[in-house]
Amino acid sequence: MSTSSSSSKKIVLKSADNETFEIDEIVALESQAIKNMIEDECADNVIPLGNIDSKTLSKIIEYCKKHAESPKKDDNADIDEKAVEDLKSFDAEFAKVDMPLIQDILMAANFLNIDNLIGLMCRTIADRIKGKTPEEIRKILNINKNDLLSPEQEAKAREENSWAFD
Amino acid sequence: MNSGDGQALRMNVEGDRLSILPDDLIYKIFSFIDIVDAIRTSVLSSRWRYMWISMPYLNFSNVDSPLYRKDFSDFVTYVLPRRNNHIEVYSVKLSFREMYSDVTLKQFLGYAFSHSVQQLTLSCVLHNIIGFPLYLFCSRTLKYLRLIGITGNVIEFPILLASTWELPALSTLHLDSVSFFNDNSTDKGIGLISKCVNLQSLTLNHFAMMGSNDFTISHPRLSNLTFENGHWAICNVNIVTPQLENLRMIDCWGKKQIYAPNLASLIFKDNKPLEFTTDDLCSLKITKLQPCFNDSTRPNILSLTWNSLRYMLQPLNKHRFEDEITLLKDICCTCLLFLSLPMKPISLQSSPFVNLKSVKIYPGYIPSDEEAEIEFCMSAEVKNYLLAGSPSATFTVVSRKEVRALTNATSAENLMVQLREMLKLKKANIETSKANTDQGKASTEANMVEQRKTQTLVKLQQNFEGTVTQIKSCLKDLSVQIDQGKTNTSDIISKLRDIEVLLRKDLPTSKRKKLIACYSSLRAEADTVVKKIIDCMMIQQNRLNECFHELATTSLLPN
Repeated sequence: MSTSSSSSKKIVLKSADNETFEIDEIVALESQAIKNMIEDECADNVIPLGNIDSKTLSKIIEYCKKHAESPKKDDNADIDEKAVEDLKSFDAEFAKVDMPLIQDILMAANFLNIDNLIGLMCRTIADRIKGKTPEEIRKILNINKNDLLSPEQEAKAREENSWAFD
Repeated sequence: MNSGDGQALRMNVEGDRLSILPDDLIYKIFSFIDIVDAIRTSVLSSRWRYMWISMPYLNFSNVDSPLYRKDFSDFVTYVLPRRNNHIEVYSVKLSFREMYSDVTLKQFLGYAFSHSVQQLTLSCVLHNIIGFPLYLFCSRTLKYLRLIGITGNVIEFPILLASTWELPALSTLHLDSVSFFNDNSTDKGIGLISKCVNLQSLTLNHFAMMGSNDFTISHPRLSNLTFENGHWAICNVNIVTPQLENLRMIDCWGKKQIYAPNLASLIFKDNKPLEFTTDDLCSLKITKLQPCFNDSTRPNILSLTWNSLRYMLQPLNKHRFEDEITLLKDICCTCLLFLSLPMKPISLQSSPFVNLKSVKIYPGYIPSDEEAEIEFCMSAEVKNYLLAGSPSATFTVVSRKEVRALTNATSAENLMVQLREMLKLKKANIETSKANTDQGKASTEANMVEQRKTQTLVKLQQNFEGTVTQIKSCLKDLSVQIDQGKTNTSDIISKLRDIEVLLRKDLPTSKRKKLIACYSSLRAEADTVVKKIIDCMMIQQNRLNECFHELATTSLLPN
């Protein structure tokens, strides 16, 4: 632990596979859900996150760390253009992961209520399905075969929405 | 936290995780895609079947790509009736190619406004100036509005805003490439914003005035104002904004008179002066004055002239400047000229700056390498004028050599980024072409195996011709590859040489080590890529060898 941060308050998160992560409170505050817990003073012990595995959680912590560190936009509108750029390229790199992980991160971010991260993941998914055929999208999103429409239903859906398929 | 929920969330781990997300998240994904894409998801699965019908976002573009090039009036007549009429519309993004009839647009805006739309972005690709049908804009809910005119030709400001609208809830207005109309009969104000009583942020980018060269922005609530790229014909800009806190003005032309007693932050780059008309001059609260650099390596292009600075600083005389201010030698040169005039000498004026933390003087003109370094000298009076009120300020004169070193470093950095991208691209290309070669090779081998199997005379004859064709195609491929290899290699070499030349010049000590390390890693990378290029040629050559060997060893003629 570095001396500079050892004085700040720590929050401990526990993933579904029982791995613990100790993070600075300021990093944890990126999550509105954890922020609420801290404000309600129920974050003194380990916070169990039974629905988030350690791989997803470490990715989310990486994101929160970066965003907590970078200066907030309204502090100093213009000197920080570079910081904004830096954050943008971080986000772009961060999103370069496979679709199952993106979906896991999105679900976890939704659960933890991290607004920016939800937006980033939704935009990433949107970018990947843009302009693709339904067959391609099914593959990309790994849509469950049991949920597929019957051929008759699909034909009906296509007919109803023919404007978009022409 | 609730572990019951957690179990539910993880249940479907291996499968389709997205389908178990709440509707809101799926709508959020829709907010980033075109309505055409959103509607097409209706056939994905039962989960997605009716999703689009209730989404609160409407994005329609007929400019992006052929896929989306649907007719706007069809969109209006097709999509709107099929959408769930009870769901409000949160945001709308429309891109047009040419303006549609008022009737269609009216129908669409009417729908959006009656469904409580809060954010509206309209971009129009236009070839003529059009009077924008502002009377169609009437909403009690709209908070954010952005209008963008895009032209491919000489018309710079295609959207003419000559009437007014009723948007009482609007808080952010962004206008890009617009003309305002001013018949000089009224108070020259931009009437448009007078009906937006809650407006807080106004951005004008690429704007012009028609009918007058003066204009006034007057608004009681406005707190953020950005002007960029005004038309050169604008002569006088009057700003009356009692609540204004942040002002950003870049290349706006015209003389500017500003009443903004609550101004806290000012970013200014222009060659015309800025004048504050605040009654009580000392009440100005500017804590941040930032000259704007677009290019940090060329700080000499700042066009904050001495005159404009003087205009700005007079009212600030007694005020505290907490931030670092960076001055240019351009200004100092003008100061020196100023001194030589038989007017009030600078030595008799008190310094407008108080408690500066640092003053940096940049050279206004950077001669090329060959020219001798000109010694910078600043008169004691000017120095005193700048620093008198700031005893703890650090005073730095940035030499031309340092600026040049910085420029070199930045150019080298840029070149290295380009080279890195280039290498990445070439590597990817090599992979594809290698895959093709492998395929070619495989088919050659397959052919040969086939040939050996079928040794009848007729077949052999055919095979002989086949092999000849193969050799010819091999030769063709090889020559293409050599040509490509030549271009690729020489591209890489010329970039490397440019970088090398720059790195031999002056560089800032702080950056030298990093730059050189970066360069050597790039050289190694280039080495690998060039090796790969050559490998590719070798593979092709081997293929050629094999083919030829086959030809030479299988004779048709009886011994």
